[in-house]
Amino acid sequence: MKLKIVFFGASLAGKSTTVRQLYKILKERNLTKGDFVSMETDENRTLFVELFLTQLPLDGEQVDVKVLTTPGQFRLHPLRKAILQGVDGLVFTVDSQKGREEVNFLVLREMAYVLKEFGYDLYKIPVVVQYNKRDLENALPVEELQPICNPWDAPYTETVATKGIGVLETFRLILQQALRSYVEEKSRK
Amino acid sequence: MELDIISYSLSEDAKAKLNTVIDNFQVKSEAKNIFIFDKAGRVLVYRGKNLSETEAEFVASIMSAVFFASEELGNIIDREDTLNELIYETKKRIFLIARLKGNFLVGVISDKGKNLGSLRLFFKHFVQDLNQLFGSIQKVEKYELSLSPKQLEEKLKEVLS
Ligand SMILES: Nc1nc2c(ncn2[C@@H]2O[C@H](COP(=O)(O)OP(=O)(O)OP(=O)(O)O)[C@@H](O)[C@H]2O)c(=O)[nH]1
Ligand SMILES: [Mg+2]
Repeated sequence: MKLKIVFFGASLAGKSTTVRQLYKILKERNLTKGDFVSMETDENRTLFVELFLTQLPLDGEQVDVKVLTTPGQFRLHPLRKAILQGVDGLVFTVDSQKGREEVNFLVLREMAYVLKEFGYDLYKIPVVVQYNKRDLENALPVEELQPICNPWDAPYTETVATKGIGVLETFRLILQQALRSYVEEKSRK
Repeated sequence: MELDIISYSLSEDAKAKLNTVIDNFQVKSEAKNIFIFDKAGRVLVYRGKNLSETEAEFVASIMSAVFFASEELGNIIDREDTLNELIYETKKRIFLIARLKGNFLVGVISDKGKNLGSLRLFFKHFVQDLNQLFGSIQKVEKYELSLSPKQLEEKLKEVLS
């Protein structure tokens, strides 16, 4: 079984940092396959994609999960769309800092358009909202961010990607979301 | 949502036919690497010697992204335009990617030095043959996990905490 999980969110929200930390954590546990592939600009901003593979043993079955990030910079939107093809689960990385509310929201709105174009039901796609940069003083309270950033009422995490805090939990939750509808259907049979 | 959480499963008959089509193309074109994958970049078939299974997954993911990014590029110029085939070359190699029926793509990597014209022609026929097959291939959902939602949650906690 192969799953495709994509991280999206505004530029500088911390997607790459999160995914690199995740790779490191999973690699230490021998759960990664191959290297971390990255295409970035000179200023370490994601140009196209970052990508790695992990293989998880679940119930005697190997579940291959491909983790990808999208570039957050506005002008790279068309590349974002190319990477989202066939996605099974989304992590929305939110920059919790005051003043970033609008940027977070714009990315979310644009994602909704893309998914609609693909024919996905926005409210049924597995999502986890990752409130990042919780270590910063100007981070807004989650209760204030929820109405703007979580229209799904999806599970959310609070993370400090630079320190790896909450990263693994975010990954676990998105897998749970993505596989849930699948096992529910299965257990009905 | 019927997710793309699908392990594609082909009937023995379809598999045999697919192999014949790929063999034919490989012999004629001398292509080094052949990938058939879905739009998400999930490899269905990889043919070639020099790449591991993991590397093949990377290649397919990027080929898919490059293909759809190129389509976006075309759409900026003309919304009504569609992309079916993408060909480009590096110093040493030629890359060909084409859209197949049913959300699949095929990618081919060939060393340079071969006649590009005949390679394109073989590729065109290859795509036609594949489309004939893919028109009739059934996408079978294989239920591989036999966990309840609760067990899934516990299992994930066990592996990832
Ligand atoms: N204080 C703090 N800084 C963070 C955190 N996460 C990321 N950063 C910093 O924020 C900056 C941007 O992080 P990236 O991971 O590159 O952001 P991105 O979302 O990938 O950005 P794009 O590639 O442009 O879309 C870097 O300087 C990180 O070190 C966090 O949790 N806390
Ligand atoms: Mg990035």
